[in-house]
This record gives sequence, structure tokens and C-alpha cells, in this order.
Amino acid sequence: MNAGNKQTALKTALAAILAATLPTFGAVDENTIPLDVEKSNLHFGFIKLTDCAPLVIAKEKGFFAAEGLNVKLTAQKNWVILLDNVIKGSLDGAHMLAGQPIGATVGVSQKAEIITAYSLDLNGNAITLATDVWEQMKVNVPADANGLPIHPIKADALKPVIDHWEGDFNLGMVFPVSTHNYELRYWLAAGGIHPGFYTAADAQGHTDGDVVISPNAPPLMPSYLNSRAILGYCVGEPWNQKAVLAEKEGQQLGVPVVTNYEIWKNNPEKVFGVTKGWAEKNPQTHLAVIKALIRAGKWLDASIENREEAVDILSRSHYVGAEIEVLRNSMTGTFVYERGDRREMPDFNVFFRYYASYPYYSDCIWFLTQMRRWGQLSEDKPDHWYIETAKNIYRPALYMEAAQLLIEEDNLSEADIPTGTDGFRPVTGAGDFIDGKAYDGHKPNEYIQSFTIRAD
Amino acid sequence: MMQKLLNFSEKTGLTLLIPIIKIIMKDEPEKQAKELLKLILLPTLALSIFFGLWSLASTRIKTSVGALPSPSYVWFQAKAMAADARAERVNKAEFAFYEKSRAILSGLLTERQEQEAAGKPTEASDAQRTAFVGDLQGRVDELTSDIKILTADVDAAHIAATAAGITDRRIEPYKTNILKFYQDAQYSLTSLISKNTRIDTAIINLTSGDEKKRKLAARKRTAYERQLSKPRAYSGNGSILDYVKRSVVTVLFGFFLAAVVAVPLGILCGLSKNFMTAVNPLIQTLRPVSPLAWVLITIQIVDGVFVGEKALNGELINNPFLHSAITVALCSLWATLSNTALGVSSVNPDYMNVAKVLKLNWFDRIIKIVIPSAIPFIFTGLRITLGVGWMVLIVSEMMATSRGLGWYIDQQYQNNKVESLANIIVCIFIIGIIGALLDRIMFILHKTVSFNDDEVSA
Repeated sequence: MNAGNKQTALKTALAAILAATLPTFGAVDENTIPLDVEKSNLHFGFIKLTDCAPLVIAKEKGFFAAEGLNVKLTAQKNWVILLDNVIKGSLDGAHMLAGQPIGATVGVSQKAEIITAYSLDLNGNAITLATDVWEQMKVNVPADANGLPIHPIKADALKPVIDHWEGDFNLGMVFPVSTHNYELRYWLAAGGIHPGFYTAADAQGHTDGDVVISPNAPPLMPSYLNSRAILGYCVGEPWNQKAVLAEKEGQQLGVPVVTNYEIWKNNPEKVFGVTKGWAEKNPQTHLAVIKALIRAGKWLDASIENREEAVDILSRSHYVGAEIEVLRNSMTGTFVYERGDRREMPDFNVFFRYYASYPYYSDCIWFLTQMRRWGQLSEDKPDHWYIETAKNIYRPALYMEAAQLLIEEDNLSEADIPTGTDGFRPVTGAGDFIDGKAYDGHKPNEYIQSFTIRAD
Repeated sequence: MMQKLLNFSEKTGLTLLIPIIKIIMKDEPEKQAKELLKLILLPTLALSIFFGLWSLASTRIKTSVGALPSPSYVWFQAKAMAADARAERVNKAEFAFYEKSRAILSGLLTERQEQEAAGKPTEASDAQRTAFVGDLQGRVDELTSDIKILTADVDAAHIAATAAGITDRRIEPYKTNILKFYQDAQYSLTSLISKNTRIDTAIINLTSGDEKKRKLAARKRTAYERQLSKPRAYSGNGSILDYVKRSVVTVLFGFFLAAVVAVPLGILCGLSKNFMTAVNPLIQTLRPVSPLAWVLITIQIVDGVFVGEKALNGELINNPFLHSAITVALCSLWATLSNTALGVSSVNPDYMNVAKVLKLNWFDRIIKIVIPSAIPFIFTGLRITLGVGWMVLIVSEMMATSRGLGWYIDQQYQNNKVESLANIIVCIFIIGIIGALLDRIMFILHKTVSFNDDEVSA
């Protein structure tokens, strides 16, 4: 990073501090009519990723406090421990992979009934490969007039490299039911690389694979890439930008080749999950939490200044803790692939726009279709099973209830929420998925059947 | 007096003090001066070599997050962590002030409600409440002016740092933290005051002619008063002092559990050959198991017992606390067990014969003969147990998300930057120093209970 960049980095940090000092007396809870919460001291868990931002912002900007909620946030070691702590009651709720409540409810991972009424964000992930792998694959990628690779880069370019690779081609993702696992497999399969199936005998998901995909903790991915334990990974920010900033033998440690925005435009990513039992026991508390989260999400997408302030808050050691420059790269609408190749990507992190925080049934069903596609669900199910399961896990009605309260309080406007929806997103357009497929949440089986690489 | 001090130094193993005291006592001063010089120079030499090598390594070794932090960087971070700890204390005080104010305000509002219900005049309590809120406003004004000064200081420090080209260090950590905490406090108190104002407005609106307005006012008043009546627990992030405190309490609790299990079992093993034969294979198998394996199974078992409603949610005593404490106990109890067994089995047979002659019952024999003569052995075991326990604790806290030193180190590791590597190194020194102190305490206890000093080695 050059000196000019450092200067701007510091100036913006300074601006953020100054902005925070401006008096904002009573602004946050001025109109709020607090609910009669059953439990006011709450403990939530999160993983050190930028998309925990709505939880952190709701705490730091006083949205939780406005609802009379006193929230403690504790970073968890990994997704398994996080989910365990929620199931066992050590945590009231947590930042979760969208696949976690679904996986837990249908029994793909730890078995428990987890529900969600709030989607934390869209997009925000990327696939990073070791720099030497990228050098080999780069020759297959078409370049523009300036010699820069044309995005989106398809896995077709990686296929010849893997075909000639000596030994296992190890790749990392964060969790068997994570978005990252499905996105990585989706991208590879779209380029003709077999990512491997899960079978009754193979819970690792390596059967028939051209590559070996295994789970690792997100913040440790750059270290594993450095030690060559893996040759690439799919993970959320800031751990892709970290590979750009980190050095190995005078080069950047890894090169993000494709973002999940390019794999599926505006795909759902994380959710706020609680157990069904907790939600039934603390209905008003749950509603109050959703209210605060909606406002935090809205705040995050309101302006670039807010994003800068969020970067400053997230960089604190107790939250994401990564360097401000690393966090800023993705949080403020740009993305660096290779050093010197910074591109505009205004929708890389979406917290609220496009009704991002509304928990669509169709999002849930997409994850179920991928669980079926890769063999985590071993049997075919009728369409109505998919829809009923989604309705059991995703709770848009609760979201709407919270949103209505906020509208009454003048803290939200009608335009912020999808009115008149049946809970399904419209069928995706031709350019939305990297393989050009159309996805209709009402017809999951048709969608699954449309793939050539899929489990029996 | 001097002799007492000398005995104390010998007992506690503070070898550095011995020559100093002897010089004061004029006991071979020249020889003692030489001894003292040796005691100071040799460790200094070793330390300088250590720090020299470390400095050299920090200029050569590049990690994936940046250069290995040098001793001076680590020292800088240690000071920053100390600053965080001091700031955290201020934050706790501000929080306590807020909680107290909230409780008083809520009390005054409840009083007013009662007066209303009884049809009594409310002017007096209203005046009291207004005066109280005035005091709060005074505190807010104080905070506001402090914030102004702090902001200027922090900004000046940032500008100076930018001019000097420093970007990889935290600038003014104490003031930056305090600034944030004061802003939070200012916000919370302002919000408290504003809620009181809104309640007052609602009370006025309760008599409004417009029914809709009246209803909304009633709803708002109840909602605000209810919110104010709910106590808040401190939800700050804590500082290194909190983590150290938690770790020490956890290891002591785990140590206590280990002792409670291992000493009686050890006595049984020592007394009865048959019992020893029966349990020996189990002991030999479980003893070498790594804490990483124990902690996973402990987590599952503890969470299986304390689940849902029964989950422990205390600030200190919660499920993760038990996970790490029990893991400590499981990994560390073996030394005490085998030493106790050894001590008990090597009780002088003459004593036991005397006990028979005196017709002491089984219980008295254990209390009056077995335990006293096995005590030095038991303490040898306990000392090892505490040492092992402290080592095991760090890794078990990492796995159990128990907010102690182990958890903190893991969090720092995940932060993936040079600053966090430096924090980890600071923690390593803290862990080492506390471990050495705990060992010293056990050493003193051990010496105190031993009949023969030669048995105990420092």
C-alpha cells in the first residue's frame, strides 16, 4: 500500500471519529416505543466476519438499547461451537450461516430446531486461490484491452490446471452447510470440475470429486493458504482481501478470482438465528431484536459515511479485528482482485437494499435444493416438502410485524419492506447465475433436475 | 529480625534476598557481594541474549500477517493493553452510575404512580424528580466538556502520528477508549433524561381531548416506565484484567475439583493393594489423554446436564466456565492421585502397628496417622497438579469460548494482524508470570508442611 493510501485511510478514520463525536442526542430512541420484553439482558454470538455488522451496529449505535435490550456479543471459535452454544442455551441467538438453521432443522448437521426472522446480508463472499495456481490458470482467462482479466472468471479456466495437478487439490470452505460450500461447488461444477458428493458412507463430501473440499475456520484461511494446507478457499470478507494484502515470497498470498455476487447476483448469506424454543418463550424479546436489527441494517446501507464508521467499529479487536484497510476494501463498494486491480463493486456487501433483510422462503428453498444436489439430503422430496420446511424455518411474518411497529414509530418507511409478497423472490433472470440457470423457488425439483452434475 | 527475614527468604526461595540480608548482617560481606553480583549478572546476561535474538528474529522473520513483532513493539502493546484495562474501569464506573440513576428515576416514577392511584398530590415527587434529572444533566454537561477536550487531544495525536508516518500502532489508546466510553455514557444519560421528558409529555397528553392522542400517551408511558424498571447487566467487552481474573478463578476451581477427587482416591489406592490393582489400568489409560480430547467430551457432558432452562448464565459461573474448569481437573488430577497413593503406601509400618495397639478405628487412623505422614507427598502432587492445570487451562478456554486468557489469545489469533501477534506475546508473558507465581505459592505451602526441607526442590 502506498503512502497516499495510508494518508486517506487515516483521514477517513479521523473523519469517522469526528462523526461519532457529533451530538446525536436521543436520535436513536426518540420515537421508539419499547416492547414489554421478557428478557432484557441478552448474549449473542458471532464469527469474525464483516457480515456480523448488523449485530455490532445495533449494539454500538444504540438500536438494541432503544428497545430496552442490553446485549453482550461474544466472538465464537467456529460455526459448530456457535451453533452448539445456541442450541444448549449459552447464547440467546447468533449470527449464523443461512444453511445452519436449515441444516439443523432437517438434520444435515447438529439436529435442533432453529428459526430465523432476519437475513443479515446478501453477497459478501469470494473464492481465493493461491497466487501460483492463479498464474497457471490466468493464461486461460480472456483479457481486456488493458491486459486485465475479464470478470466473471469461470472455473473452466481452472479445469486444465486441476487436470494436470500432482496430488490432491485441497480447497477450504467454512462449514458443510455454509453458503461457501454451495457456492464453491456451484462455481466448480459450472466449469465442469466435479466438487465431490456427500453419501451415506461419506460425510466429508469427497466422493467422485476432482478436488478435496474441507471445512476450516474463516479467519484462519489465509494462514492455511500460507502453509499450503489448502490451495484456495471460499470465505466471507475480510479474509479474501487479507490474502491480497498478505505477502508470500514478494507476491500477494492469494488472488480472489470470483465473488459470490458473480456466481449468483444478490444471493442470501447470513441470518440471525435463535432456537424455536427460545422464540416461543421470548416472543416480545425476539420481536424487539428484529426491530433493532432492521434499523441497524437500514443504517448500514444508508450512506457511505455510515459504512466508513462501521469499518471503524468492526476493526476493533473485539469485533472483526482486522486492519481498517482490509475491511474497507469490501465494505465501501470496491473489491481488489490482484494488487493494482481495484474494481467497483457497489453491491459486494448488501445489508438492506433490495429487501436484503427480509427472510424469503425461496432463499431457504435454494439451500435445500443444494443440499439435495450434493447428496446431503439423500432422498428426493416433493415440492411441497421444500415449501413446508421453508415455512417452518423462515419467519417473514415476524419480520413484517417488527417492520410494521417501526413504521408506526416513523423509524421505517413502507418503501423499505416488500409489500404484497408471497414470500418468494421473483424467478431469477438469465444473467443472475454464473451458469445462466433460472431459479424459481416454487419449483425446487425442476431446478435440481436441471443440473448435470448432481447426486442420485 | 534479620534472621527471621533470612528464614523467610530461604523458605520462599527468594534467593536474591539472601546475600543482601547477609551483607546487612555483616556475615562474610565480600563473599556475599560476589554472590549477589553473580545472581544479578548471570540472569541479566541470559535475558539480554534472549532479547537480542528476539530482536534479530523480528527483523528477519516475515509471517503471513507481517513482520514478527519486536520486543519494543510488544512492550508498546503491553502498555496499550494496560491502558485498555484502565479505561475499562472507567467504563464500569460510568455504567454503575447509569444503573444507579436509572433505578432512582424508576423508583421516583413508581412513587408517582402510587400517589396517582391513591389520589394523592404528586407535586412533591415531581419536584424531586425534576431536581434529580437536573443533576443528571449536570453530569452530561461535565461529560460533554470532557469529550471536547479528549477529542482535541486524540485528533492532535492522530495528526502528529500521520506526520511522523506511524500507521501500524494504536494512537493514544487510553484517551481513545475513554472518549468512546464517555460518548456512550453521555448518550445513555441523555437518553434517560429524554425518556423522563417523554414520560412527562405523555402524562400531560393523558388529559388531552383527542382520544387517539390519549391512547398513544398511555401506551408510551407504560412502555417507557416498564423499560426503565428493568435492570441492566454490564455488557462491556472486558479487558485483560478480567480475562486474567477469570482464568485464575477457573484454574483454582479446577484445582479444587482435582484435589477433592484425587486425594481420597489416592488414599484408597495407597491403603488397599486390591483397590490399586483394580483401578490402576484405568488410571494409566486416562492419565496421558490430551486436554484437547477431554475438553470436547466435557463440553458435551456439561451441556447435556446444564441444558436449556438449567443452563448456567452467570457472569462468572456459566457453562463455558465449567467446561474449562472440569477439563483442568481431568488433566491435572493424576499427579496428586499417584503421589497421594505413594505417600499413603509408604507410611511407616510402625505407626500403623501403634495405631492397632491403640485400637484406633479406621477413620481415626486415616485422619491421625495416614494423612499427616502422607502430607508432603500430597503437596508434591498438588504442586504438579496446579502447574499442569494452568497449562491445560489455556487450551481448554480456547475450545470452550470461556472468556479468559485462552479465549483472548484465540480471538487475537483470529484477528490476523501484527498488533494481535504482539498481544499474544504479551499474554504469553502474563501466563508465564502467573504460572511461576502459582508454583511459588505451592512451593511455600509445600515447604511449610514438610518435615524435611530436603524433600522440596525449588
